[in-house]
Amino acid sequence: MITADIWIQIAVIGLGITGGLIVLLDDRRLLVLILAVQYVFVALLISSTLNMQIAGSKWLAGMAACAIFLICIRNTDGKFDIGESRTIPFNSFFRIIAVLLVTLVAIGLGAVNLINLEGIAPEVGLGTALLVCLSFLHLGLCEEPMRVGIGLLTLLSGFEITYSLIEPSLAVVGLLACVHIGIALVMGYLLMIQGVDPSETREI
Amino acid sequence: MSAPFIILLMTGIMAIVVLPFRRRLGLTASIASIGALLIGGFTLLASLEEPFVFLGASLKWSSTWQLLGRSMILDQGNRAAVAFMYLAGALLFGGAWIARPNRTFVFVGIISIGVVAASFMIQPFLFAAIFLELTAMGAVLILSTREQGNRSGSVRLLVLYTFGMIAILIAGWILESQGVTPATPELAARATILLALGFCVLMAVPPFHIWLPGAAQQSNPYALAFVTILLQSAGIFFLLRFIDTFVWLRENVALFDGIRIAAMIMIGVGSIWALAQQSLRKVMAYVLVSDFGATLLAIGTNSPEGFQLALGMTGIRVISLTVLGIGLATIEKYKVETSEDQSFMGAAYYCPISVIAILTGLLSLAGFPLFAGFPGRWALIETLLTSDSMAGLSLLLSLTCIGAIVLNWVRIFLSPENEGKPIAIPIVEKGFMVVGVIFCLLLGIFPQLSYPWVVEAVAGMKQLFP
Repeated sequence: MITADIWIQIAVIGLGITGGLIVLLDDRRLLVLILAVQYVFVALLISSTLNMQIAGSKWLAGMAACAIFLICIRNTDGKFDIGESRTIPFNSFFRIIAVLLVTLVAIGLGAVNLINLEGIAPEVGLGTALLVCLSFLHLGLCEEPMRVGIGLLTLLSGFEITYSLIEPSLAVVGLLACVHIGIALVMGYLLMIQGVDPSETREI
Repeated sequence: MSAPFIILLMTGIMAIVVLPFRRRLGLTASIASIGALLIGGFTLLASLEEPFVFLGASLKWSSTWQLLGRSMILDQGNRAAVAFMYLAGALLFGGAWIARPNRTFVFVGIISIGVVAASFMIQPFLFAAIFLELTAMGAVLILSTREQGNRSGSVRLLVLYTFGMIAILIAGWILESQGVTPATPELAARATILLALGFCVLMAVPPFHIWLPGAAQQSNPYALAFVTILLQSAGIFFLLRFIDTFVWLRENVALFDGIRIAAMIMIGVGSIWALAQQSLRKVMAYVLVSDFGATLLAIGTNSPEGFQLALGMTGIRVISLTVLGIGLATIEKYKVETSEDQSFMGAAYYCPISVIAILTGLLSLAGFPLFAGFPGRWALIETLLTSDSMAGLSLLLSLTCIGAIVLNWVRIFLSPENEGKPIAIPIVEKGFMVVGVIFCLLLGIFPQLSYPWVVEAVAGMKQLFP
């Protein structure tokens, strides 16, 4: 029998792994798949402290965002290739070292109660710190709209793990779900118009 | 009937109406302009909570709309701000007909104005940060065009606004739940740092202005004008509501010192970097940074007069930036195709009205005498020279730098390289620019036409304007 504590620990480890993989991987479809798995872990962690409906709504919003990304990738693959900025090293070795270092920093930060939160499990703080720190690294390394979008969604997920505990109102849950879907739509739009010849008259 | 619901419903209907016609910019711009004017008029004039008879039925405009356990409230504290956004939208949508931004401009612009209006009305108002994030998403769509391959400016805008939203939401939670007072200095310091971070993003304080030059380079200038008016106005009203609501913020002298320092950095960075630019679009971006700095400086005075000046400058910016944006968009439309560095040489000969509009917009944003921005800038300099002479001098430095920029561009526009016959610009475009230029001059010569509305607008903020 797996207890709630073990589920929480699985979720936190899962968040660390998926957050790291998002920085390390290059394949777009795989990135979206990892993001979808990350949403499952986020929902799992939130459900351990809040009711299932709120966790479920966050998971649904995340799945919708992933679906939007997948549709955009399907419509644009092969039409263009936009390279990453090479002003910062982007090779795998650099990224692995950076992910390990940032993970260590996140583990350290997760143990510190920065904003005077009381009654919140340390695992929740750790999960938040992991996603926030790894998404900062990700956002610092990339400029391509879809990767930036995935970085922003990771950042928001990390933030929401803690914020939904301190502000669980339905309106805020709904608005933040709109933000997830909105970011996916906007970045998907940017991704799609990159692949379109301006002279084309086709509507997107 | 609920007034907030009617306002948002009408906005939604207007967006749906223009959606099928988005290729016909003239039609959509007209619909949006008239619609925004009507909604703005309704917001200003509707008698809230007072019964009236319509077609034999007794009705009442309620000021509250309940939504998912939260409220949207239209009251004296925010109705002027909501009306301002729609009236500014009416002007800006009208100009879109001429400036020809991308085809999503009107549709997304209407929705964005509705979202900003919702951010003014939502209670608790701290959740306005989420609405501003949604507005930033709309801004990305307005700024992005298929013609430009690189969209780093828009992407950066969204990233920064996400950071800002998170910082303000956490600060808001600390303020509301943890009971921050002057007696809790540690909590107050944490909240202040987070708020400062959030508002630095909203106010484009360097280095958070980084999206602006990129977006200027990659987007239609008029679209950039629209987006900056929308985001900056929303940010200013949001900041004033924070200051109005929390006593410890108003009494925090260090915070207002910090605001003045940030404002001086903005004015300095904006003016000096504008001087170094060769692209007119980037000049526009950095002059805007300087102008935002002047508005922030007015707030940094922490006086009712300063807050009124900040709102007045926000209103005047709509006119100045519209004229500048249209001038720049039309001159680019008609420019003689030459190499990049000579693209505007001789423009005064073939596109004289656009050149006049650009120069008027720049001078008005800088607050030159006889132009719309002057009365506010002059009043601010007068206030500051007695209390904070350094800040006053930074405004004079900004005037000098932008004066030099204008002289340099006059030289380029009058350069005989591409001298030729004036291009036949349609009469509507000419008329719109001429009226805009006349307005900029009228508001500069007769400031009493523009500034009194500010006193009305801020009457609802009881703590700031007792």
